[in-house]
Amino acid sequence: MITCEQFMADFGNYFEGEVAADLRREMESHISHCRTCQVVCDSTSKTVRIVTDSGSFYLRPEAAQPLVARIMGRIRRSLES
Amino acid sequence: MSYLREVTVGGAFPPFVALQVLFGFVPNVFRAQSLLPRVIEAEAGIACALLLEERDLSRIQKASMSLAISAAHGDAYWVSGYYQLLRSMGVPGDTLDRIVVNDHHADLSARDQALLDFARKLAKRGPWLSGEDIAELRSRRLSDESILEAVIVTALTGFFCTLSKGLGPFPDFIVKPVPPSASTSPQAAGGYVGGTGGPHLRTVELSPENFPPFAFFLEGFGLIPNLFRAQSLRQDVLEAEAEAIRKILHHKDILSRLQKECILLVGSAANLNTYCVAAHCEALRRMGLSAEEADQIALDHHKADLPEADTALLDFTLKLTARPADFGPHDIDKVRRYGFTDEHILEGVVVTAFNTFFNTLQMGLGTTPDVVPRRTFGPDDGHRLAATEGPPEPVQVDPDAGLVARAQSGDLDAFEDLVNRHSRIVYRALVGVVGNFDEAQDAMQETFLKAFQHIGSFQGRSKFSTWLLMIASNTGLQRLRDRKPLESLDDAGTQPEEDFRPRQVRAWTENPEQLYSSAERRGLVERGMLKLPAKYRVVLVLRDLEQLSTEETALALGLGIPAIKSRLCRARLMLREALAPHFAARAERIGL
Repeated sequence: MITCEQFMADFGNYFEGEVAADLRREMESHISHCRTCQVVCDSTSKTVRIVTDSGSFYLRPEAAQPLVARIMGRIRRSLES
Repeated sequence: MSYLREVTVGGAFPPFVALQVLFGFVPNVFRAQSLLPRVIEAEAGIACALLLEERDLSRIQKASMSLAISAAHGDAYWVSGYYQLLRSMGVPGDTLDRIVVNDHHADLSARDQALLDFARKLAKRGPWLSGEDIAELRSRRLSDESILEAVIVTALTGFFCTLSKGLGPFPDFIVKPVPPSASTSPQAAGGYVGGTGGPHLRTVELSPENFPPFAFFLEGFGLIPNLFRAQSLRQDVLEAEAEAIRKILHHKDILSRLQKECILLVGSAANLNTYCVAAHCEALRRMGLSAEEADQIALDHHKADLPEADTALLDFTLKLTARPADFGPHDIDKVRRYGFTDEHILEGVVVTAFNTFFNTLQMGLGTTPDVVPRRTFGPDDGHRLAATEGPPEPVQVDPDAGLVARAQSGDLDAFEDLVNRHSRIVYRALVGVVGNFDEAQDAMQETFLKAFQHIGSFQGRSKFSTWLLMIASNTGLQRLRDRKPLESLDDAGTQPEEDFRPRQVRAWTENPEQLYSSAERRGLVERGMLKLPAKYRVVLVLRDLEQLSTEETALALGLGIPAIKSRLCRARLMLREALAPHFAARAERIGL
């Protein structure tokens, strides 16, 4: 049976579905007994879901447009000079 | 969290309500398809028609079959789901454990055991199923209605298992490990049959005039396929199947009808299904392909005259069908490199899974082909297809290639289109690096000016967007160094990733999204991310906000893949710590 430390060491790869079958079984066996690692696994999954759906740092089109105009203005001026 | 992007559909979405009734929860494999609600509607429609009512087989019998089949497929996700469902119906854990490992000493009647054996054989050795297997069930006093229901349950479970393999949903429950012995193929008792020799079951006469699904099949296929005639004892299921065909196959807003037919053809060939290969070759012929071209796609699509991207999509289908145990997120990344979006990939997985459903149905029903097959598949084809190795690494197809070429020849409008197209991702990446909105805007202008200056030297060795992100990350990094020498993307400042230990270990509420408005959630995420060190924040931005692959992120940041993976994991765990006080359920703190 692997320990919590060993579980966390491979957690990233496990989360991405990139561990070998034997290790995956060991890790699944661990979380079937360890409430703490199960919570970490579940809440990390929810974190990713919340982040992915959050639209964070989204540049609204009306904010992007003046920036694009400024960039193209600078390029056109540099070509003229 | 699955291999693909998800969006919030809402708990009141009718298929979710129906699935909640059916399973007692909404399995994550359906949430993982939220980009295309119509496919969830299609799947829930068949599932509810078949599984909800107690007609010929009981709900426990059907769920037990699904448990056995999921175990036979080595599908730990569904084994856990059906295990929980059956426990909630009062079936003892010991009985379920024995079903999972195919132990014939489970406390089952001879009839139930025969049903499980039949389902396992159909799921794993369908081409070896014969009329004798049907006769064995009849000898156990199972009616044709019951046997038909068993065949459809087996097919639907195969459908759902292919979905879980292709989408990688997060487990709904603590995962029950499936011992390797459980997924061993049953012995091939009897000779190879190849889905012929039927129809095995009694039918009733239905006509297009009085049964609308038959009118729909007649209009769509030019005939009423024997596969559907053979299910005439279950008109409710036929109605759901017709609706599913409308919702999954007839839409052409994501993948084209041609692409979907090719997926069905390649999947059917991989499953050695002569009936379905003949049907899909005929469909392709009606779309304008010659019979020889369709044959070539079935036999070896690499030798067919298809666009590279479509060949990659068919490699994806073939692997998911023939070698599902080896399928993983890297296969998703491969097709993404050809410009397929998450919607395309989701539809590709669903069509592949739908093909598993029809192939299994046909093998179980033994229907004779509707058109004369040009080729009959045999067991040797199975060895060839199953042994098919993955293709060589694909050459990237850049969706910006045309605009880049025009911009390189001095077309300013083309460059402006590129700026418009990529300003959002560049801005986000720069917020990730510099951690400041105003500075990110300045750095964005600088990035595009540099890109314009150097576009002549861009040789297409990577995608243009990746090249642009390399410039952006270097620009942001330089600003970071100027401003704060200690914080950079390549520092060894903080503790190693593997040393990080979670401290917030209270369970989160089931639906954390419901606690706050979307604006509040965005605020929490942004504040949490801005507090992360830059080297973690930028990886999180590119992977989880921009949905770049690991390889693309590594290329854009000039880092190795192991570094990206470990930083992403660390970043997610750190952000989880920051968000936990806002989303944890009121529960006792648990010590690590």
